[in-house]
Amino acid sequence: MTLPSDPSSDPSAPSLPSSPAHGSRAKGAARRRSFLRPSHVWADFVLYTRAYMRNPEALFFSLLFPVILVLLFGAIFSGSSAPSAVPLYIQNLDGQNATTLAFYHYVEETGLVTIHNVSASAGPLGTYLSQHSESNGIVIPAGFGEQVWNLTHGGRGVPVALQFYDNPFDSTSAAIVSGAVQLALQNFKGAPVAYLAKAVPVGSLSFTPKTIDFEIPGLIGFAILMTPMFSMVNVTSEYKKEKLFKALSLTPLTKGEWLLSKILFNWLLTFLAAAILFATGILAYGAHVIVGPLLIPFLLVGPLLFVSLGMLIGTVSKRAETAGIIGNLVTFPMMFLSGSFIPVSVMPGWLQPYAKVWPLYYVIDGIESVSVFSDVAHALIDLGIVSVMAAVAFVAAVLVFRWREE
Amino acid sequence: MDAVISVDGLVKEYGKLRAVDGISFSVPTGKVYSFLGPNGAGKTTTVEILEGLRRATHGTLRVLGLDPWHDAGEVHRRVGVMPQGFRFFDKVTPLEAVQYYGRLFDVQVDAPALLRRVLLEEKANDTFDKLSGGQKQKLGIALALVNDPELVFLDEPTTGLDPQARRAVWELLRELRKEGRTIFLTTHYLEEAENLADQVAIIHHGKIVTEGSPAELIAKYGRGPRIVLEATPELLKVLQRVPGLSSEVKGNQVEVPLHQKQVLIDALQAIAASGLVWPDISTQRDTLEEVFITLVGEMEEGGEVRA
Repeated sequence: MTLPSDPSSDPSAPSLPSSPAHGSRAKGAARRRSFLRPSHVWADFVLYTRAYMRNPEALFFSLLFPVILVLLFGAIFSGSSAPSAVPLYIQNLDGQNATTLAFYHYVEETGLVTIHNVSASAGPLGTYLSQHSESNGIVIPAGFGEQVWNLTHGGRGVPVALQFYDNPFDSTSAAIVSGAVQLALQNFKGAPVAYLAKAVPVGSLSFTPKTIDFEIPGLIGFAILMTPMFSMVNVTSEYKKEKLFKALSLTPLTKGEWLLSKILFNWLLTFLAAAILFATGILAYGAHVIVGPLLIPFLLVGPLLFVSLGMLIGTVSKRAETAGIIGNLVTFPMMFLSGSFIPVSVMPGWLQPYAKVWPLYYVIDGIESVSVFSDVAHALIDLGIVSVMAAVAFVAAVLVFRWREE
Repeated sequence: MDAVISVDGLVKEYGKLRAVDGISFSVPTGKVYSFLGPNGAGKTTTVEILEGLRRATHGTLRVLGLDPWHDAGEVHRRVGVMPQGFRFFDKVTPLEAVQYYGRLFDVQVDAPALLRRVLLEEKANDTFDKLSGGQKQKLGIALALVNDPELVFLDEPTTGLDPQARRAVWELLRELRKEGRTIFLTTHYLEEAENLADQVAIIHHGKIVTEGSPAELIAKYGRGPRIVLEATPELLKVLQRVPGLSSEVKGNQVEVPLHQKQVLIDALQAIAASGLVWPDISTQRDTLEEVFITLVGEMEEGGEVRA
């Protein structure tokens, strides 16, 4: 099918601002149809970013609000040590040895843990812990105090290992316990760290963490959750209501290109928010956080997960108002329970399992493993969990999301 | 002449509801084809099927020789669409919107020139949420033209426009037609269809009630041109005595069809003979609006339309 008369060849007709040959353009475009064209993604990204920057309310919640929270939390907890003491169950099989008692004292003095004694007659500590739904414990073996005393006084001998129990999925409290023990052992000059033998290795703490150090990963998690989730719930439901998807589907922009542009935008915003949060924490409160390269995958996979979840909610809800309500019902419990504001390790024991059902928990736990504990192995486990969740949510969102109606 | 759009036995069902009930028509190249119908008649559903936005339940249809659902990508490249109640992103300006569409369609577009063409130049840098209803519509039309389309779908393009702006849009549509583009116009302004359309289809309850040029439809269903006399009661008595005139009396108006020449002459002679003051005399003819109201009214009463 061709035009009966080429408008550009009709001198009487005011020509349109553009008039490439229709046929060749259509054929060329049809060939390229199935690909993601970077020029389309870029055009949509630029337009969306520009529009977003003109929305002061959105900008406030994406970038400024988390900063206000850091400043607020930093001011509230300024100078305080650990988020609050982690419960530590100690079973002492070494009796009343003076060195052992001193070790007890030093551990307690770190302020990182609250010690609960478990009597030797209570049976294996592992069993005791699981019966009491607790995860952090140490068994001090018989002869521990004597060995430490010998070694620190120029004596020789094989270091006696402390036996650790922890929850491999809760790196925060495990690392706090590990940190407390190491800090305590530093009081015994010459005592090698080799005293620590653990079933599950966690990173070492060379400093006493402050509350602000835990708040930053939590608030980065908050930023990773809020903007992608709310912007996508809003965009998908509003575009549907305002028939903007219909308008877009009449252009060569594909669903994939549109989605990729939204993901890119959320990545940009998340990286910005993370940079601002780190900078604020470090500059305003001297937060001790490690900005390692392993943060990058979390800042990529996290927003992808919540973009997909937001899109799913916006798409499956029939009305924009319903989408908003469902979005809130998912987002707010997740925000509070996953450790955005209060680290999960200091939540009551019975509440902690409920934290672990939310995807955000693994994002925050992972960022904490990287930036507070330098615990790569643990961070990788979290990253794996988040990646699987993100992949599932992404595939589901893409399958459910439709440009056109049947 | 080639048909840009050809539709045969098109049906669209939503569950038990038949929104479009077996319609057939074709749109010749380079013409303005208008769909007229009351709200809920199935106009927009049909148009959206033609645009590849919805899938037909039954029937065959070709748009530019393509299946609009399966070849949507190519159809969209070659047609321009202004959807009903056009909306765009709130915080984007018309200038940015046109440039954005230009990038999506991979065409060089002179955005200021295009906005000038739809009389939106002054608002080129205002964000969409600051535009009036009419200005938003104009942006919709501008975006429908970015890809230099062969076929333009305009779904109620002048709804919400003031009379002056409406006339300006009509002028633009005439220019587009002059450029050889085919225009598929959905409207519920009958004056608009009468002024612009080469071909009109009146659609009601998902069916095409009748089809033809506005002049043909008026000739077929209208009462034809007539002389209307505004009579005083005395004059009415005189006129009622004229043979063949009594049935044309409505209140104080007497209508005489122009083709009944003898009746008209008799009437005028009777007035002259009576010595009474001459009444106001005017000529009238049915518009598309009257035809439309008559046809849709007949359908509403459950009757069939006169063939």
